[in-house]
Amino acid sequence: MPIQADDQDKLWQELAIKAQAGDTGAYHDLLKSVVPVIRRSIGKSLPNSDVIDDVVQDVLLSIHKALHTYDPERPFLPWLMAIISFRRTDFLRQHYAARGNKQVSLETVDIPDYLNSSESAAHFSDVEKALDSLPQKQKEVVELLKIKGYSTKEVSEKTGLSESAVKVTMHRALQKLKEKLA
Amino acid sequence: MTNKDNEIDQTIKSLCGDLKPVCCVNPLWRALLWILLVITYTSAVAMTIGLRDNIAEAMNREDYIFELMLAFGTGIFASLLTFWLSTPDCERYKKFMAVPITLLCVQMVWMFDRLYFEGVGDIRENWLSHCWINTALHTTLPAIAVIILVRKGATVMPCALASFAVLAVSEFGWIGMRLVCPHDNVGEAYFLNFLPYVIIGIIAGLGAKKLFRW
Repeated sequence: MPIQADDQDKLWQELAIKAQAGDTGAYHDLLKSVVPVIRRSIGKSLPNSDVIDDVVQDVLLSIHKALHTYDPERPFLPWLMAIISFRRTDFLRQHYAARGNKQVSLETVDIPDYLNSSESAAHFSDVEKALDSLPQKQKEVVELLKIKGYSTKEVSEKTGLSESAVKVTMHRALQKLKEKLA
Repeated sequence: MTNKDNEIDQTIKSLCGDLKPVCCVNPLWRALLWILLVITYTSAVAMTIGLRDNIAEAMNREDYIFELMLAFGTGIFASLLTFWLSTPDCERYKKFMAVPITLLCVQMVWMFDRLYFEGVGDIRENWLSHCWINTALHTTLPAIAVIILVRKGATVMPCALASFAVLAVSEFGWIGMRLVCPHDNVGEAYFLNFLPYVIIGIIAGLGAKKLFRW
C-alpha cells in the first residue's frame, strides 16, 4: 500500500528529530528515503542525466550541514525542497557560467561516418574527379586553401603567386567545380 | 546497482558516520539576542561618547522622535528578517519583507520632504572629524556580530539576507549617531554621516553569496 504524502512527511519529521538527537540509524533511513525525491525534483531541470547524481550528493551534503536549521515543529518537505532548489540553482548558475550548456560529451555526439557510407562515398568521388580535372595550378590552390586550410598569404608564399592571383585562381577553380558538379 | 548508486550509498554512510547531535537553531531567538546586544551596545557607546548637549530639547521635538522611532521600527523588522532568512525554510517569512521595505520608503519620503522644505542645511567645515566616526563606531561591532550569527545558519537567499542585514545595522547605527551628533540638518544627518555606510554596506552585500556560502 503506497504511503500518503502526509504520512511520509510525518515519518521524515520523526526521523529528522531523531537524527538531530544523534540517531545514526534514523539519519541513514532519512537520507535513503529522500534520495528518490531529490532525483525526481532535479531530474527535469538538469541538462543531462550524468550530473543528476552529482547534484543529489551535493543536496545530501547540504542536508547534513543544515540539519541544525530544521525546525522540528514544521513539516520536513518544505525545508528539504528549499535546499534542493537552492543547490539546483547553484549548480545551474555554475554550469552556465562555465558555458557547460555549450559543451557536448564526445560519447553523446552522433558523428556520421562519411567514409563508410556508400552514398557519401559516391558523392566524394564526384568531387575528387572534378578536382582532378582542374589545371594543376588551380588544383594546388584549392587543396591548399580549402582542404589543408592555409591562408591566402601562406598559399601565396608556397605557390609563388601573388595574393590577388591566388584569389583569382581560387575563384576560377570554384567556378569550374560548380559547372562540373551541377 | 550502478556505480553512481554506490557512490550515493557511500556518501550516506560517511554522512551517518559524521553525525553528531545538533541543537536546533531558532532564528527568532537569535534575532532577539542580536537586537538586545545592539541596543545595549549602542546605548553604551552613546553614553561613553556622551549624549548630544541638546538631547533634552531634541526629545521634546516630534520630528526627532518620529525619525528615531521610524529607524527603530525599520531596524527591528530588518533584523527579524535577516535571521528568518538564515534558515532554508524561510518561504513563509517572505510576506514580511514588505514591512521594512515600506518603512524604509517612508524614511526616504520623509528625507526628501525635509530636503525640499529645509534644504541641505549648514554643514560644518570640519565635518570629517565628527559624527561619521561615531557612526562607524556604532555599526562595526553589530555588523561583525550579525555576520557571525547568520553564518551559523544556512541561508538559501543570501542576497536578500545581506540587504536586510545592511539595513538593520545601518538603522541602529543611525539611531546611535543621532543620539550623539547634535546636528539634525539633512546634509549631516542623512547624507554625510549615514549614506557612505549604506553604500559600503551595499558594496559588501555584493559579496554576500561568498560570505554566506555553506
